[in-house]
Amino acid sequence: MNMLECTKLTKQYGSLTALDEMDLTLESGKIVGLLGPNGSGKTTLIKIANRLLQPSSGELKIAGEVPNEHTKAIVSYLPDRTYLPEWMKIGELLEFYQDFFEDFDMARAQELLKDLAIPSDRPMKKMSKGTKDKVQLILTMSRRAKVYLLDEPIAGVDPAARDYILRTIIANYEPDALVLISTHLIADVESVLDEAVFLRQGKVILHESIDSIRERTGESVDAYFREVFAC
Amino acid sequence: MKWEFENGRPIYLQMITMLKESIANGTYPPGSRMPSVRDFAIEAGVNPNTVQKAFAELERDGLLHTERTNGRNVTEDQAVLHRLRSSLAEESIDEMLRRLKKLGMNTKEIEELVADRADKNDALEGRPAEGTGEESK
Amino acid sequence: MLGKLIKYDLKAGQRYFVPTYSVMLVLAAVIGISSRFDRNAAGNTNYIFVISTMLFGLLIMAAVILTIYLLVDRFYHNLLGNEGYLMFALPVNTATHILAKIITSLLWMLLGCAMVLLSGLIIAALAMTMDNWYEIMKMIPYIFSRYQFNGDAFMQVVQVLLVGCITVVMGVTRIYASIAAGHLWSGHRILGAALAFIGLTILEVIVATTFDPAGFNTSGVLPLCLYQLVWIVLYGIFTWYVLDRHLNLD
Repeated sequence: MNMLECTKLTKQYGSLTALDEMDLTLESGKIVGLLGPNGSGKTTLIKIANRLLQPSSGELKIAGEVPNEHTKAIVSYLPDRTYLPEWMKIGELLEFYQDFFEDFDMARAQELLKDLAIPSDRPMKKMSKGTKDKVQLILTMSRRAKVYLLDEPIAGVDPAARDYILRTIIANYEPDALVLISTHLIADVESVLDEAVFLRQGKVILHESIDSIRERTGESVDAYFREVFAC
Repeated sequence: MKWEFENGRPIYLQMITMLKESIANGTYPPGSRMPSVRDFAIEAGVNPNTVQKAFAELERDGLLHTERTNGRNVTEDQAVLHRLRSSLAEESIDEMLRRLKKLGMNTKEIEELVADRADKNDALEGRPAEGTGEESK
Repeated sequence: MLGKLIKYDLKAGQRYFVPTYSVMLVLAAVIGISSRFDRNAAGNTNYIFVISTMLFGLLIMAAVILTIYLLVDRFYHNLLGNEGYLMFALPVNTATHILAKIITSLLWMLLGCAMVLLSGLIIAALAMTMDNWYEIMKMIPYIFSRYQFNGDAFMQVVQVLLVGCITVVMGVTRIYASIAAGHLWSGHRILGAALAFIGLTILEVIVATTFDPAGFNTSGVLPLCLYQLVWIVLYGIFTWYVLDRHLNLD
């Protein structure tokens, strides 16, 4: 089914157009890469999907509904920054997620956190940035959501952590969910994707399966991206 | 541990090749249970749908079959396995022949060279020479 | 959901309030006990009493400042800072978020008052000797006969509490509306909020003096409450409108 649908979606900040009459349809059960240079509108699109921004015109629908509390209950969002309260301890964060999200799998989260060996009374502010990122990822992926929106999950992270993050995503997403990974680090993420969406200046210039791109161009999607977006 | 894939070809095709080799050389012995699609995907660092496609293809070729208990097993059919080894061998040989022909060698030269190298190889591995032996790699 | 939001807001505050109020109550005990010695001091200054009284006064000021700081911070950082990415991802509508923050602020104010009252009781309880208690016991029937503890007196207390709470909520919503207004001015959010707050305060004064120059004390409690409720509703709607339709985190 169509989990995310954009119809002539437009977002303007004053004279700057972040999204330009964008059309896009993404189905459940796929891992899709939202690929584009900085400023192409990736984060704007994801924010609108989470109702952190309102479109200037056009619409975006999640499972047929305009973003609201109901869509937030089925969308699991990982922003590209530290968004968890610094004073909260691991135990409290788990409780928080369980309190507010019905689809939160506590057992799964505890299992994954065990691998990181963080004591449950350690507050966020006492963790390294890399550990914070992993905690946020674990909490996000421990939800049995229908849509996962991951904004730059592997940027600013060392290669070993990248593998961990990608493995965690593959291992934990709900099989029929839509996973949208926004990134500019395509080479690392390519083998995990089903489809790629190329975004340039707020417009979708490509939406194709990874296999099809590789067969058609004889290159990796990363190499093809570099050609398409050569400065 | 992430597998390395090359760029131009779809990953599922490359995975099929790797799996065929692994089945042929006994890494996945006949009758053994294959890991689940998800476990395999996690280990290889790829999308589960890719693994699914590769497994499905191998099933179509008769190399894997699905058990009632929701898993996939490697075939025990020796005829199928023999055909697999032969076809993989043929691919290797065809590739080699293409390359050597490009270097300007003719069939007789190639045959002599193959026999010679095969003997040398056997000697290195401590086996008696077999004359015109089969391609050993 | 509303209850859960309030729960976590309170949790965020308790790590400041628990130590502060604990010290306050301990100081109250110290004051109470040391005050006994004061009576008997023959020309010597009772340092403990004096110092603890001074500290107590400072602590009350600190508690007031802390409460105001926390109510601003919870709104500004928790909803409009990085934590906003978490809060607005919760399956909760904007109005509920705002209501939770208002209720939490009110609860903190009430907590502060309760702690001051409790401190007073502690001081009184510890400062009085047996003689004092005896005298107070004798006074109680007298107090009862003087003031009718019937419905009227009770209503008066309730009215005072009600006006107090509504006034607090009006101040709180004015702060929130200012922060919301500041949010619209990206790049200068704090400055915007400060200017909005000053502007709204001036506006309130102007409106109040235009409608009733003599002050509302003459009209009675109910009109005053209604007047304040109008402001609260307007501030609330404006805050909701900004957070729901013009949110722009970062």
